[in-house]
Amino acid sequence: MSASPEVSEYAVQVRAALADLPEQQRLDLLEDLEDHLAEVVADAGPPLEARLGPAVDYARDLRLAALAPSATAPSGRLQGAIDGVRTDVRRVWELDAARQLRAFLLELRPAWWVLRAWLVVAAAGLLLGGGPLLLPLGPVLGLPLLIAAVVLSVRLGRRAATQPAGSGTRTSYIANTALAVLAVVIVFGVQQRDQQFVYAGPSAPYGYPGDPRPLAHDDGTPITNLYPYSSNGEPLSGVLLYDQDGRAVDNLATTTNEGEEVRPLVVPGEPPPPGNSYPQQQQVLRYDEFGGLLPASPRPSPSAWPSPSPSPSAAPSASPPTPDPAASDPAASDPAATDPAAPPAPAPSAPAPAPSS
Amino acid sequence: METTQLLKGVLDLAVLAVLDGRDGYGYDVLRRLRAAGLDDVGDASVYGTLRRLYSAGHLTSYVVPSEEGPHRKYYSLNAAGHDQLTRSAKTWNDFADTMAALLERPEVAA
Repeated sequence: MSASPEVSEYAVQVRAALADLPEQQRLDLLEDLEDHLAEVVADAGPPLEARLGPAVDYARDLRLAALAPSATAPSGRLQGAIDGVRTDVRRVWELDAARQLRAFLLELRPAWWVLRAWLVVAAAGLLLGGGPLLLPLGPVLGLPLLIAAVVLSVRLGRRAATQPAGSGTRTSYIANTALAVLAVVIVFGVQQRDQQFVYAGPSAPYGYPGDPRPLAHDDGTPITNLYPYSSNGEPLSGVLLYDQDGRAVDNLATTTNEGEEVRPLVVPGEPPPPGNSYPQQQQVLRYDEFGGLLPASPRPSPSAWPSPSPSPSAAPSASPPTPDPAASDPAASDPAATDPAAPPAPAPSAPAPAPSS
Repeated sequence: METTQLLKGVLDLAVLAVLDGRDGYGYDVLRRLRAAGLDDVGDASVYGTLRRLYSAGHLTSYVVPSEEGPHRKYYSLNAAGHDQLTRSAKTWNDFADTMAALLERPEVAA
């Protein structure tokens, strides 16, 4: 059955005015429209538009009548009206709050683009290990990388923003959530890394910080004895040494560089010399190849004294002399005759070259 | 108060009542309503109401072929439609009585 042009035209306009309805609903509604309009026309009279009014008005009335709340509402109209109002209010409120929230988040979106670019670079920095937190991987490598990442992220973000919601939205939600989780991981990871640096301090020659530190050279070689000489090259004995505060310097190492134990030599019948009297009379414990203890021998004073040169590295490498079991004379040095107990109060200033440097 | 306002609430009932007596097609229903005195009822409103009642399951429809004119889709009241008519009619009558009592005018009460 073919409709007249007038009817078709009118029907097309009505359909157009209802284009926002869901497809199925619109089809149901307009199924018989042309036939109906044809009936109107068949009943001779003024043209369609004059009789029915403009197509848009027709569409409006049609919409109102067709979408009116069903007359089959269970309870009375009053209850239905109340329910309707309540639903409407709730819907409006939810819509409004949700809309405001969404608007706010949209404003923050560019910031998220920048942040996620930094996150990716920071993750790389954490894995490869390097650079400060704000600029991972250091300025040379990290800065261009960071800039490139930001540009890429903004590009992706803007492309996603202009595209209508589709299958890609789900993927991007997942990707963005993963990045957010990565952010948390990174924060913790960086905290861990920085803490490690705090604990790993420079290691002391004797291992643990807080232990008393015996005398040692810069390279870590323990100093187990000191041999003072006069400026003429005469070996001195019984020299008492004090530091800048008047404290006795007596913390010689008790283990040689080879791991041998050094003990003070005690001459029976005589009082032991003070700890800061140099050179100390000592005994180095040595063992033969079978583990048997070699006879104790006092370490001899260096027979060849070094020339008194200011550089400490020169001669002392000649001493200590090789251990030679031949007894040497403890008599070369005598226990300090002076009173060991009281360090002469301002005495450290008396010896002219006061080694206070 | 405009009749159209009142009509909005009861057009369903009016359409059901019209179809209760005799099946009808869209324009036919409109003419009968107008003939009954509802001059202001709009074509779109009637057509929309018919479609809605049909979607709600109160009406069935069938097409009657015709040689000289368009095929017409006739609407008919089904069981659910009859129930709805009865209920709505009662609601309306009660409402009308209430309003009449409210107005306390003997000539208003039908």
